[in-house]
Amino acid sequence: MSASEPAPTAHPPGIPAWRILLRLLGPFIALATFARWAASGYNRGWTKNRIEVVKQDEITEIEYIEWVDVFIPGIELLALGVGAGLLLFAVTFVPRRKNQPKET
Amino acid sequence: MKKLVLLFATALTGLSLSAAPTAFDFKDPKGVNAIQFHLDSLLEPIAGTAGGVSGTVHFDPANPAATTGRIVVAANSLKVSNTMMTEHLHGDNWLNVAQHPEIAFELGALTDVKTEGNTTTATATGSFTLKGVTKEISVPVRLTHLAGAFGKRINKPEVPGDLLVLRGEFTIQRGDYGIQPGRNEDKVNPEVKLTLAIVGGPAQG
Repeated sequence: MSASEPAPTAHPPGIPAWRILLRLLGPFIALATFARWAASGYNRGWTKNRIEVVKQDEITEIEYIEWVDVFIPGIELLALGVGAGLLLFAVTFVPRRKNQPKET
Repeated sequence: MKKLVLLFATALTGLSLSAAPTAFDFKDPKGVNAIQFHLDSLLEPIAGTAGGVSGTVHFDPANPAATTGRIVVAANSLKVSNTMMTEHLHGDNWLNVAQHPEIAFELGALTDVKTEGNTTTATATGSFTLKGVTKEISVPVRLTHLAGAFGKRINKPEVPGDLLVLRGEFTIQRGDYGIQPGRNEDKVNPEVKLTLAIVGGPAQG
């Protein structure tokens, strides 16, 4: 790099830092939500914070349910997370309001 | 002659004792007893359990048709896989457990009784109470009498006593019991399937 070249800027000229931040944060939130939902087994139902485990009583042969605490995000959390992420991303493209010249 | 009378009296006492129905307590010490419920809804079926089962059934293996009893479920023991949904279920709009803490079935009569080995199948007719509304219903049931199995189940084989396993499945219309009648039927099915598989041990006293 020669001394006459301008120093590289942290972001493209003209785009405010908050827009760049949200442009990165939005997709990150959407992807992180999707990844968490997918990792929990693509639950297409509501969010669960406990699941049923079927067990059997040896003597009576009764099948009974034991509840186990586990968090499984559902479709509504996926929609909320992905929606919020995309919204954050989208607002960064809203054009800035130009200052109206004052009428004298 | 005196001996004969004594023998006859003893035999009669023994006969009357064996003929007396045994009381089975359905408050299970192992906490296995639960009623399972299942209803379809918009996104996925809602399934859950109600673990607070209690009540007593009087059962005579020699005369199953004479069975009587009452099974009670604590309404606030109903649980589904989501805490918020469980709270909604307990709330005023659905079960209103604060005002109606008990769900109960009072057995009136057993009909179509068939016994094979230690298992009796029958139709139990009785009054079912939910959210303060009582209706007469008939439930196909299966009763299994496990003689001398109580001690084994609680890991104390020396403790005497029998077990009575009660199984059944039936459906109700939630609207019949004042649970959102005619409302939200496109989101939550009006039909609720109830499944019970519960065990009773010797009643104390």
